[in-house]
Amino acid sequence: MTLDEYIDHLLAGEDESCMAAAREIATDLPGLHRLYVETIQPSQYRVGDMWLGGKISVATEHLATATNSYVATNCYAPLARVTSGGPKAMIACTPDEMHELGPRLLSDLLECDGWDVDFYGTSMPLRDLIGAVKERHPRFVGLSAALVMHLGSVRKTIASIREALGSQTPPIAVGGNAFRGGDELWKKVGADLYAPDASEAAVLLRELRD
Amino acid sequence: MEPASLDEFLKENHDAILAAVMVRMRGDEDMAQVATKRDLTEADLNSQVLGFWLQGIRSDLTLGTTAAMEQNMNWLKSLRSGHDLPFDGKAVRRCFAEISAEIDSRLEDEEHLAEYSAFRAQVDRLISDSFPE
Repeated sequence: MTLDEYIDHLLAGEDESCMAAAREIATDLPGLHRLYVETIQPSQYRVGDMWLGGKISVATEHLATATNSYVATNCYAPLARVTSGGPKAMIACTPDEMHELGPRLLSDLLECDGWDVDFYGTSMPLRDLIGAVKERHPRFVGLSAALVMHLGSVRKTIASIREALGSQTPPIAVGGNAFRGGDELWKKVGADLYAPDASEAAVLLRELRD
Repeated sequence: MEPASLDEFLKENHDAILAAVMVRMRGDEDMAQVATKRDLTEADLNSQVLGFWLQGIRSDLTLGTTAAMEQNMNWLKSLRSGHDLPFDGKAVRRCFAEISAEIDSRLEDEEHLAEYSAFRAQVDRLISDSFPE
């Protein structure tokens, strides 16, 4: 099934057709990486662009996202490893950020890679995020932003973490659609690390795991 | 006394600025057309659109970029061809002009006024490039 065909099924809410295609790809961990990076992520970006361009409704965008979430969950589950004792990773969306599928995909790949992941989902309040970093001592913090207008919030979040933890601040990685435009926006928000997709991020973060 | 940074000032005064700009934009024919097409009240549509602009302005001032405004321009152009929404250059210029007028009217710090003036000039150029007259 081509990406275009997958997206057609996605927009029609044909979850079993999407699932069938995904199962053929995600037969092992490298396959899961390929599914996330070559199918789910680009299909999400295309759906997002279609919504922004007014070509699909909010309802269709939500349906597509929910279908991709269903596909990811069902493909990840058979490959998931129970990790305990692995280094702690913290993944969250910044305050006001409601798009969680991208960071969810990264969390799955990190779990498969031996990390013990705390995934906090959408719109994480800043005070609670800082409290969690202090309490859970992650090896790194990963922040996600889907919209460029949220980058100011990302910068403030990073600055607040650094102010609260000082020299104890773990490395901070960022990712998400908001950073796709170039101009090294990830540096402007004060992050230490950036990767354009979940698979590259998982590889990059191995340097912190080992 | 104003906060140390312009983006902090906008954050603290967001609701008041938004409410005041909505008053300025009340009865705007282009916004009313968009509201009708989207089956929203004029107030709801203005609140969404103007709130969106303000959030983008704050983000750009925080980062020292115009990245959010650039994305905003791309979206507005896409919505014209996709949803057939009448975000033409006139409407876009008026939105930004009214927001900027309200912000300028509230600023007292000379440095903030200069900073916003420089940002405003950049965004005006962006709008002109995106929606040539």
